[in-house]
Amino acid sequence: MALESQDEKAPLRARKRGGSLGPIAQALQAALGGDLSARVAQGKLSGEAAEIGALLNQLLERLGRRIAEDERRKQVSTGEIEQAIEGLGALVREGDLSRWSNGTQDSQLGPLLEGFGKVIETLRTFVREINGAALRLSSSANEVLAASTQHEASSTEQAAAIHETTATMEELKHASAQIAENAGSVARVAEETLGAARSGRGAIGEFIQAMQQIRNDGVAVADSITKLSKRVERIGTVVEVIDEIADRSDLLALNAALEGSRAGEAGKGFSIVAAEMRRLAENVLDSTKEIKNLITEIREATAAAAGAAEASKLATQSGEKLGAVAAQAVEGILAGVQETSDAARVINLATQQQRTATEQVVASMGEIEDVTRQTTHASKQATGAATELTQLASRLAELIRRFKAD
Amino acid sequence: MEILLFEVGGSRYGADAAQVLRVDQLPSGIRSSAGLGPTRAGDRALVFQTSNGATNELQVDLVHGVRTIPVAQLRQLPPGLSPQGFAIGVWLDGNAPVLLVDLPQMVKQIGGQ
Repeated sequence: MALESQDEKAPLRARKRGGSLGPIAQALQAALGGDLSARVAQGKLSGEAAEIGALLNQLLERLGRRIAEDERRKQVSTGEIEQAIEGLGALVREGDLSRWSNGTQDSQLGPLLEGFGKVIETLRTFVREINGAALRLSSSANEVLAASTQHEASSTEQAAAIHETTATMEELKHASAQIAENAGSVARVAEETLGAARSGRGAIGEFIQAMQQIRNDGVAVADSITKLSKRVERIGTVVEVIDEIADRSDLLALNAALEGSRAGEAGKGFSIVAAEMRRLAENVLDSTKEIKNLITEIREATAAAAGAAEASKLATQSGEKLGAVAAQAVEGILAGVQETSDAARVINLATQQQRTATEQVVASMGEIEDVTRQTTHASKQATGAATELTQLASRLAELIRRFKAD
Repeated sequence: MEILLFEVGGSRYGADAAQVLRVDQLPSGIRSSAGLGPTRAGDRALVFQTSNGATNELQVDLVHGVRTIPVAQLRQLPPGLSPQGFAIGVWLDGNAPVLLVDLPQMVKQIGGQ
């Protein structure tokens, strides 16, 4: 502290050299030299000089105490400023807010530190809240990541399942189309079978009528054969008569020839006539023999024909019975085929509806697959975002952990 | 010469037509013909007169008729070839031999046995 200027020191040096106020001048000289512990020696003074010396000593005493006080205050302030700077440095370097102190003995430094303290306290609050939020955010981000990962996995599984289901439905669609086509074929075949069965029923009816006609014709043939047999028998009888007549004629001709031979020349003409008669009779006998052979053959043929007619009759009767049985069987077949045809038509209709429904399901599954694919893609994006969010949350937590609030 | 030609058992025979009175029809079922062997299916009988004036019958299978044959074509059998004596000669109808028999002699021979 500069007590006086250099110009003011000059008179004091002059009076010192004068001698009576020397102690005072020396004390002032020492004080001006910075030694505030210097005092005026009272023993060498008297009167007003002694009073001035005492007053000067009191002044120096007060001034020393004041300077010491100021120095002490200065040191305290310096320490507090260093502490504040250290606290700010720790805040800046380490994020440590806990080392900040508002305490100060300096009334001028107090508001500044108090302002810093409020800022630091606000930062502490922020750090606490951000730390808590970062922890919650990290936890939530982990949960979101886990949920997103699970959702992604579920979406992937769902997409795979839907894809598999779509493939299965596609196969089912083809199978349905094949079934519908087969059902259509079955319906057509059943319809054709129905037509064939109806034709068969008609054919069997015609067959039965034909059998009845054959039986009637067979009866007529049998009657004709009986009549033919009777007529052949009659012819045989007539031929027997003719044969007998021819035989007698032959006998007569022989005897006539004998008579002619006995008559000699007169009987020659008679013998010639007799020989001609014999020849005719023999011709007749040969003819009747042939006729008998023919009659025998005719008898055998008519017998065979009668047997055949009887066999035909039995066969036609059997045929009629078989036809009736076949007709009954065909009626049963017809009923069964009718039911089969109806069932085939119903199946055909149902399979067509099934095919249409399956195609609609396949189309819907395709749309679902597209949506699922988009969902999976979105899930992957969400998972990526959640991963990034988790990393950011971790980073934030890591960063915020650098700040020590308490 | 007038020869009555007939057949017995598949063999052809001839006899003098003058010896035969007539030809008759036999009832069916008779199958015998004296010295010429059994007949097959004939129903004729030659009626002739024996040396004692009686009539007799010879069953034959077939009577072919009366033929006029020149005597020169008739051949007499050598002695000894007809042990029974009623075969008196042979006539060749082409290549087929026809044995000529004496009907009354045949009855006589058979009756004498």
